[in-house]
Amino acid sequence: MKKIMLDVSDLSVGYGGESVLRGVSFSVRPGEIVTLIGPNGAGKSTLLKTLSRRLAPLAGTVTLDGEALSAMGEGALSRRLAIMTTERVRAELMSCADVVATGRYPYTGRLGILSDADRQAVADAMALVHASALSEQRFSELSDGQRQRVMLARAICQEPELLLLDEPTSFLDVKHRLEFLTTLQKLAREKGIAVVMSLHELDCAARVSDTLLCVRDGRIDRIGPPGEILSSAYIETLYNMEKGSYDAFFGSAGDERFFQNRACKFFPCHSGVAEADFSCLFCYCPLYALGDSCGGRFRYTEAGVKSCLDCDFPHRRENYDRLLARWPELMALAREKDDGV
Amino acid sequence: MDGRRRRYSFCFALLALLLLALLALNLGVGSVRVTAAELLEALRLRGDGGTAARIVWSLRLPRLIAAALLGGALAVSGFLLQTFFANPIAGPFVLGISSGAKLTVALTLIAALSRGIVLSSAALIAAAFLGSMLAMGFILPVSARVRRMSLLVVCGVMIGYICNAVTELLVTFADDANIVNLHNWAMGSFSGIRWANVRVMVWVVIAGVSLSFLLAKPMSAYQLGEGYAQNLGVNLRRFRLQLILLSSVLSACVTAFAGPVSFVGVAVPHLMKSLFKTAKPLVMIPACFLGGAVFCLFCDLLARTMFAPTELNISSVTAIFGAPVVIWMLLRRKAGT
Repeated sequence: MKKIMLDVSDLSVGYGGESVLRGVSFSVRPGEIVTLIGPNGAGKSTLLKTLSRRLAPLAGTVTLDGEALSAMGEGALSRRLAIMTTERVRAELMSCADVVATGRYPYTGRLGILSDADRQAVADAMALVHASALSEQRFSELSDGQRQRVMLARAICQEPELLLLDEPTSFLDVKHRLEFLTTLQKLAREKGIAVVMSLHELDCAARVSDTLLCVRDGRIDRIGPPGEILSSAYIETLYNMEKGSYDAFFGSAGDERFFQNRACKFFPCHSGVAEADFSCLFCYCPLYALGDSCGGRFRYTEAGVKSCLDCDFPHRRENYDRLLARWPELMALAREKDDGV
Repeated sequence: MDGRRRRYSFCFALLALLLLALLALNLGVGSVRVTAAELLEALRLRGDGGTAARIVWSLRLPRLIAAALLGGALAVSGFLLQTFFANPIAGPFVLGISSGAKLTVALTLIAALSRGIVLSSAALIAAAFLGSMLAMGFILPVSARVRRMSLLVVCGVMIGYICNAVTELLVTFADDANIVNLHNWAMGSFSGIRWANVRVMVWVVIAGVSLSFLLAKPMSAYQLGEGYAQNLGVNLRRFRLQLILLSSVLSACVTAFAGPVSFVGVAVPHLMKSLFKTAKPLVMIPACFLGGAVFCLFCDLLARTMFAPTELNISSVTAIFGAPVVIWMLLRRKAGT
């Protein structure tokens, strides 16, 4: 077992002396992915802000590699810990490469001039998130999803030991979301980077995380591997949902579970619905982009838009193998689409 | 990458060329025409020659050095404030900081004049700095409360009006022959600047701009947003204080010698961003300094010569050229969102 990198003990976080979360204790080892789940306003962002030292803790301690977070120098901390927040990035007249290059800040000299090695690190980080083609494009012209990938590259570029990500996938469609999470897993496995993040999508959280932290009612309600924690009943409690709204599907491996929200007004599936209305845990059909050959039921509207309103194909557990089998095809399609932009 | 570098060199060369041309023009053109030979004589003899040489040495030369230095200082001060407030229309004039400085300088001048004391340049800068900080003391709490950039600017303009009103009041009730002089200054003008002033402002402006240049790195991080800047190792509290102090010193220096000069602080950084196609502080700080110098030399040339022998106040000219730039910028920004 690797030694503990981040150790949080009896931490209280909040604003202006008023705590949002109390008694938070957990630890993270190198290469581990820890995901915070829970309803909006539960304090996930506040906790992440405290861990990045943006907010002072109200009580308790945080140590990074055995060193107290509060005692670390700014330079030392910035080489160990990188963040990605929901803060709207102002990047006036900056290309994506410029934005990514800000991650080199802790390594450049007094005036922040990039060396060749720094430029290489920028290019490598962009390649890792499949954003190389965006390099010279203006950051302000990107879609929200593309921005999130560039901001991840920026954080990677900082060569941290620990990544703190606040809802890093909220603007990504399902293809890029899974691609993003695969990149994170790769970073964790290959480079030993620890990740602490908040996610809204339970299916993604379950798939990618080593540990889930369930935040509820001002405390950490449960901690453990996804397989131990996620049951329909618990999800309903966590999100204060009506009983019977969620079905959990059990995979043969036992730790893969998928959910569908039967209470969703668009259940079983939908198209042309505003993103803000989505409440299902698998809200986009990953196969939608494949057109006629997706394998599910669909029809074309008068305007020529593919509509799968009465299709539940991606929700059915027995279809997951077929879904995953088409993965390479989808990725190729997504990349083609990006290059076209 | 290389294309960018080529663009920067080209733009810097262009600005340097404009600067040289305007320096020459400002020396030669005026109510007394000066030939090249007389110019050289003036520079060689340091004002000991004929009338023309004396005019060049003791009037035009200090004036154009001041216009260049103060114009540069004002533009850099504007750029610092825009970075600080993350607001492209922030500037020392718009936020009322120049007016605050004007108020304290007027107060100090009136107090000194009534007691027959002649104030040194350094004392004027100190008074202006105090006024800048006072105005800043009003605008900072406002900025903490409002996130809308237009509202911040409206508050700044209001602070400016209040300060102007108080200054007017002071000028009206302080009866002194020198008040006429003071009134002239209060409208903004580069006239009447002497070598003694220039010697002080050179140090203040060079120090201020050089220190700003050293802040280019944290400024570039700060441009992304506070959270990211902090994560990258910027000590936010210290950095913000440095920005405020530097921008105040620079704009105070301008107000102390030339009175409030409008729109340079907003228009020049914007023009430079459009010209260089970047907002990188490392490029923008020298660019704004050069651009501000060029802009003010050009405007001062017009102020002196357009209706000679009557002089326009510098703010009227900078407003004519600067305000449309700001309007254009606002409209384009609106179209973009």
